[in-house]
Amino acid sequence: MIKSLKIKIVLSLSLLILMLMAAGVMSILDFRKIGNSVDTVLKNNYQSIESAKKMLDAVEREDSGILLWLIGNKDSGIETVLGSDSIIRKAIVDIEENITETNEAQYVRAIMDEYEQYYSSVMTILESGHNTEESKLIYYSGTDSLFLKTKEAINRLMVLNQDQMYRQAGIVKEQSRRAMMPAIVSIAAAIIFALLLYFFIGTYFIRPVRQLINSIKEYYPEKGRLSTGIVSKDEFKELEEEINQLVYRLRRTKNSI
Amino acid sequence: MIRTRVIIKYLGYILLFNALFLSISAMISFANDEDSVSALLFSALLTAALGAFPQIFVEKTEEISFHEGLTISVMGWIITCIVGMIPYYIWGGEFSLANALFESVSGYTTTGASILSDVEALPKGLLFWRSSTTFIGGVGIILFVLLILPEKKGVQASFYRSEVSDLSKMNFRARSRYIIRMIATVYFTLIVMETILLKLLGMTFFDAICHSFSTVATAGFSTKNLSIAAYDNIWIELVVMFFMLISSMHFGLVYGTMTNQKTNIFTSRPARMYMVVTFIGIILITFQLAQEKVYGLGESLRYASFQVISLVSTTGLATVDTAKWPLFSIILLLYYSIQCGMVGSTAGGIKFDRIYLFFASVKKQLKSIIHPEGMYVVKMDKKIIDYRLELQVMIFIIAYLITMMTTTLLLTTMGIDATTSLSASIATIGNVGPGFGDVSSLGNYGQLPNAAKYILSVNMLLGRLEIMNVFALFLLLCRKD
Repeated sequence: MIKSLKIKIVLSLSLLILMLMAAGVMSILDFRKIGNSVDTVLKNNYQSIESAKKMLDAVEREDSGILLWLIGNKDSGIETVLGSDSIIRKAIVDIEENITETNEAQYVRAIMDEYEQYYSSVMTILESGHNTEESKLIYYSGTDSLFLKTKEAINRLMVLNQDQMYRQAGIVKEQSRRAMMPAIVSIAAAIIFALLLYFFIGTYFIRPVRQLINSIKEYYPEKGRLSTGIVSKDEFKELEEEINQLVYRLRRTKNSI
Repeated sequence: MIRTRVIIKYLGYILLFNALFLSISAMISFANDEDSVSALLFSALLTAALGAFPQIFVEKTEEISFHEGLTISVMGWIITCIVGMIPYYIWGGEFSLANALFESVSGYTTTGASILSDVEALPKGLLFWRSSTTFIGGVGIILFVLLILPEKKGVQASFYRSEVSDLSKMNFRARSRYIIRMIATVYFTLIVMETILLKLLGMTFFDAICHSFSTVATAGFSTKNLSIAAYDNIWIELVVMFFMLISSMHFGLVYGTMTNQKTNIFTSRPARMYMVVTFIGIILITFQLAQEKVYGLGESLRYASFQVISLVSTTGLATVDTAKWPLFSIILLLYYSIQCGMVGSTAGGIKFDRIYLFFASVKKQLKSIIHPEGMYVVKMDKKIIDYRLELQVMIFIIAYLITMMTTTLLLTTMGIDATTSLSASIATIGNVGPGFGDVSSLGNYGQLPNAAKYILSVNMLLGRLEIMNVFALFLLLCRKD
């Protein structure tokens, strides 16, 4: 049993500090997790979605390029096709370097396959020379559907990353809830601590003082020893004992005089 | 006079005991690199801090009064249930405030009713914590604390008086100190034996220990969505059945059987009757299931045995969805959910001994009507039952049924259908777990409104504390003097 009032106070405050520190550390760790998760969303998914968008845009421009070529605007058409092709290939490299999701590699491979087929079909048209009718036939019989398939493959990759981004957003939401929880629980616990402390201060600090005051007020020498009714074995009990010793010494001095 | 500081001190011990199990769960979570580690660790620290706080100030107590014992006992359960929900609530997932409280109360009261639709999605640390609550609640947190505490005999005796019912004291023939040890011996022995057997039959050690906690505490929490049905192993079912039945019998009698004493399961008339009544239920349900071609004869016997023992023992583990069974079987199972196991066991409900005593009293009354001049007494295992105890039992049964019907009515006002309301009420006050309708053996309580979950949580606590203790404390606290 702890007898010193000082140790009692220090220990009770240490417990409160320990609890608040634990809540703080846990919140910090959870907020760090949120930071990492946001970073993950940006790195893993948002970059892939941006690259896929670029690719989609470039594929559409490439298709516009071939249409320009078909309506007779040959130079501008070739320029658009080649420019778009380099953008698409760069975007594919970017995505390949940022494969983070399960099956994402397969999706990228599918895009590459579809695009290679589409690109070779485009090149067949461009290499077919100036026969516009024959080129139109090639375009409508194969190139057009390959263009749509390539777009579809890119869209699939985009959906994969978007879904993952939504899932990650859900996780971030849950993590932010978890980060708040220790604070909420700690507030509730701190209130309980405060109430308990109030009760213990009343019982072990204020009551003994009152008991001492009342006992001293009602004390007269014929009564013998001063009895306060203090049950704890701390400094208050010691004080009661010291008062009794003092009374004893005073009585002895008085008698000797 | 009730000394508040003494009550706070003992509630502190209870919190420290919970903190110990929270720490073990946190360690399991840490070892498995799970995201629940921080929730469990923080809960452990918080609980330990709150529990240690009163120990700094309050001096050791030589004795506690019966009133103090009763207050600590009831308040201990309430505080334990509140603390138990903290890790669930912090972790989140399916655990809203109402869900976390329901799951915590369900665990500690060994009800085994769950709000979880996907138990397997829980991290192992939280699964262990969930099972730990049933382990702690099995024989009661107060008894656990008494086992550890180096307190005086007077304290133990007072707690024993407030925690153990008068009827269950009849089969214990020792001093309270030894009875507590006796209960603990039976409890731990059964858990160890079942864990070993389940491990040998192919369960992982983690699953084996969680299911042993759940079975011996007659709780019903499983680590699988399909409960015991997930293993589809008849030997596992047999082992679980055996331990469910044993755990629903008076621990004094089980101890007597284990140590080859005169008073044991086979010599006690109520125990024999309890087994016969359970056996009759199995036969009747098997017969109906086979006759109505729900299953073949073998399967009918297999499923009927498991479900009857599971419900009568108030465990609530399942091998099949009983909601699809014929009406007669459902009504029989509802009866067993009200009757439940024996006093002095980990089972909840009215308890078989009280039903036995009720019929013995009815017989006595009938004899008195026929022969008004005669003097008749009620006997149980050749012991004359005191009239006050007889009256106590009758009042308990009436209070139990009134509480059950009030809960049913309250649930129906929330738009819950009659079958679900009645069976949920029976299953929670009896600490059985699964009911019928929307809360059947393979279903869950998650879809019920939050208000219903709070009501059922109170119901579970009332059932675990055997109703009268709570009302007695309420009256005690309302007293002006």
